[in-house]
Amino acid sequence: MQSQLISQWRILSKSYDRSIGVDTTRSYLIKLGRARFADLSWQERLAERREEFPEFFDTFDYTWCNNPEFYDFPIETSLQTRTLDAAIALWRAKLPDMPSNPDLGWIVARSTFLANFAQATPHVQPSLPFKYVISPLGWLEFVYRYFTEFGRCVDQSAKTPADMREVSSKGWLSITANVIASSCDGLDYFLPEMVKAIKNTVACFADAEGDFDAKRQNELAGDLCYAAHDFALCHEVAHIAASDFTNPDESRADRWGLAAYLGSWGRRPLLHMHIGNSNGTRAIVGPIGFGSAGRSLLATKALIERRLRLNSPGRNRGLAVFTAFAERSRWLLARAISLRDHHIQKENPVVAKDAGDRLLSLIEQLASYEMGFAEFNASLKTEDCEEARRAAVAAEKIAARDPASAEQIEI
Amino acid sequence: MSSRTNDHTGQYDESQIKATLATYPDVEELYAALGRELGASATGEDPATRGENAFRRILPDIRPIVCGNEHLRRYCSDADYSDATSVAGMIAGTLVAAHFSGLNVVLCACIIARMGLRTLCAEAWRN
Repeated sequence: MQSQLISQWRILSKSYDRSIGVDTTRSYLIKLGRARFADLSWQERLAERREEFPEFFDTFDYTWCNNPEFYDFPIETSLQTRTLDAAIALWRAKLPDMPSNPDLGWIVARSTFLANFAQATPHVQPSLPFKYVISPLGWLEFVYRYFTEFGRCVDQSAKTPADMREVSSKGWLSITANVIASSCDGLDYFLPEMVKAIKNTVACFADAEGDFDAKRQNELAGDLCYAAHDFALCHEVAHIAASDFTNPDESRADRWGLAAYLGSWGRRPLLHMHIGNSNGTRAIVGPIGFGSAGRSLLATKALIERRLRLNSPGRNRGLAVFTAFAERSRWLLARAISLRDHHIQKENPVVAKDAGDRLLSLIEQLASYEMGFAEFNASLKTEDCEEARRAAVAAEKIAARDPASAEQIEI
Repeated sequence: MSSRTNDHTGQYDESQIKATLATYPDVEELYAALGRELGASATGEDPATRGENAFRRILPDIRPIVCGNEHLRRYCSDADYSDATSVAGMIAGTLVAAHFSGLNVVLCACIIARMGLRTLCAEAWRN
């Protein structure tokens, strides 16, 4: 069974990791990631969970998780632990509309070198009995860049969309340029970009000791990245509990995912206290951050598709996906705020008030930021988008794909 | 779906191809079928988008395999191109022979047949 897990993933990962071309390049990138983010504590964390929730581990066999051979990508140990946290929390939540014995066994967290922003949202891919929860590098990098720019705006006390544009227009242009490049077939694999992403982005999502420069530079961004992605993992675990892979019910996955998130957030060692020393407040940052990052990504993608006329007339898939997601995230925000009120009633009123004020301020700033980013993208001329696309195609032609070139990239 | 080929012609199991093309008569539906095999995404992309994204990701791998097959090229220049079943069967056979994996071979072959081999291979077959 365990060797089947590895061989299944080798087959599935081909449709994601074709971008890095040859196996030696892949090995080089894995080695690079491992060298920078060796996580030595994951086996201890798994042992803790096993001790605390023996009934879960009696029901589902997760002994294979302890084997380092099951992990390729540098942060997969962290992702596996966090995904298991979500599964344990959902299993314990026993929501009234959940199956009495959800199949939460053989959940395998994986990342891929897919660096394409427009395609790389986290998802669950079944290859029964395995359920792969996949967090592509492109998603992690988008979230990282998005919240890093937000953190800079907060640091520089930018409050309005116009102020934020002053601070972040360069960073926003870089994000949008990647979405434009992603719209070109096959352009998801700039090796130098991938190396940079491994260096800068992955630190925000790892539990590992090691190079945390990016995180230290901006702890708020780091927390938001971590929490937003945790919510995404919880949402995917909810799909697994519902076994609704072929006909997914996204609203239900949000609802169950929120329960899993609230039941497991306390285990997140890196979720710091930027918005106040309140359990209730910290607990809802994930859904809020996930909603904001998701809306911005989908809105940018829909705009670019329209500008570059990538879809046939009347299809507007990007717009439809954005609209549906925006509705979901509105529900998430409202639900998260009401849950927060419920949580802080149990806390010290002074702490709770302070946390509440900080949270509202953060939500307002995030709303301004999202608006500023959307306005910035809307102001881009079609010619600029086309030029960026042409540049991406030209860059692809000279992009290094062989390991010898990869090793020449300065990191 | 199983990987059965006819050794002599490189043609895939015709009944499977026929059934797939009959069940999913246009490219959008084929993309959606492929997307449904790929599970669910956090931002809620519809199956057709997921399927098309996955297909386009792997297209640069598929193109040289399919367009580099001289047998397919000759067939398309001579035969009645409306016979999607034969074309899809030959494409599937070619992909299996090249050890293509990662996505459902039958669905990929049917998508290419519906897109049109001449469109897919326009550049490669220019000369």
